[in-house]
Amino acid sequence: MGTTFNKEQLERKTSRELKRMCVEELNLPGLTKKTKDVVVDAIMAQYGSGSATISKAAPVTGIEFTGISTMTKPDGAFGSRTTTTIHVSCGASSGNFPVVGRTVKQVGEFLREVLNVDRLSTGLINGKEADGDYVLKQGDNLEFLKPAGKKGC
Amino acid sequence: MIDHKIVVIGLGGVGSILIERLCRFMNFSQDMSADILLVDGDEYEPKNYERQEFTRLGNKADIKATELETKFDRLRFDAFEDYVTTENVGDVIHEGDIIFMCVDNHKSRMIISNYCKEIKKVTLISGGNDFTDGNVQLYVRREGKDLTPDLCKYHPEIADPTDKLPTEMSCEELSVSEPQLYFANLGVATIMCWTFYNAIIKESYERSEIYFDILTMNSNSKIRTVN
Repeated sequence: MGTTFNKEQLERKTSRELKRMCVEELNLPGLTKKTKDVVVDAIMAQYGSGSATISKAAPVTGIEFTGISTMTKPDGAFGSRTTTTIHVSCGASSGNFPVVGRTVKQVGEFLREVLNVDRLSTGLINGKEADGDYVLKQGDNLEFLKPAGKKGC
Repeated sequence: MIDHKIVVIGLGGVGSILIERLCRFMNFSQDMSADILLVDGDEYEPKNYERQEFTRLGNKADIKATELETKFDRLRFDAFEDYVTTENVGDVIHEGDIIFMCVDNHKSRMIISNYCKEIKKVTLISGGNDFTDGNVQLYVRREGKDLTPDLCKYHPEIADPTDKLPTEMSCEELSVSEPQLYFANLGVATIMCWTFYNAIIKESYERSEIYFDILTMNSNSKIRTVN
């Protein structure tokens, strides 16, 4: 059972509320850096000109690892010729995780607590902004952008 | 002898720690001299003793300029006793400046970063912290081209800030300050000094953002692409 919004109601929400809605409820990635007008237009474009129906998405409860691997070091010692991990970071935290074949969005959910990933965080693959549906492959480097520190005075 | 033009914007928790270390390094480097402009519209008050380094009460820029010129006689100091706004940013920042931005709001960061995009040669080192973590960003322009991304490119919270300049805040808003950890201020100031050393002394700009987290005891530098 969803809630219906029209454009006027969406415009009354703050930019942050709209972006959170896109990430958590509407599965509309790539809007966290956009202006409020663009976000509202994107929601209306996706859900029709009259109204947007919002319903809660099922939570991600885990990640399936199917063992996709590539022989990246054919001359390496027995047992270390393949690797199935990629480097994932967020702010000062980082690690190598078996997430090849998973989407950026899934990895963000999976590592949310481990790396303190914000729900609105944009994913970068090898330094370039990535769509939440991008499927990670061998050799990728994934970073979830952490907001800048604000205080200092 | 290299004569640098340094601007330090914000002389609170980060700026008051940073400026002492920076001046000590520059004053005793044989091949370096500097004109240093200190910028802040705020006043040192007794409540600031917990995290900020000063010896007298009064305007922060004026007090620090007076203190530092007695300690570091090879450096020249000037004070700009106001907050940076879109109206006066051109009076503070000029071609060739090395800017240390130690402010406490994203709107100031956005204004200064955007102004630097209009300058041919500038080095901007910006730091900020939350309670136990923080980051430092390096923005370098040479001959009118970005060598590193500006502060807004990877940070929508700076590009589209929701906070206010100190000049836009009411007395009530100004009197409310969020708690901060002295060690987080110290971490930002230290990493800003590392960034200065790499960018200016070693001319290395590859890693243009550095994060740290006191609770996990991690720091992590990032290679950012301009395009």
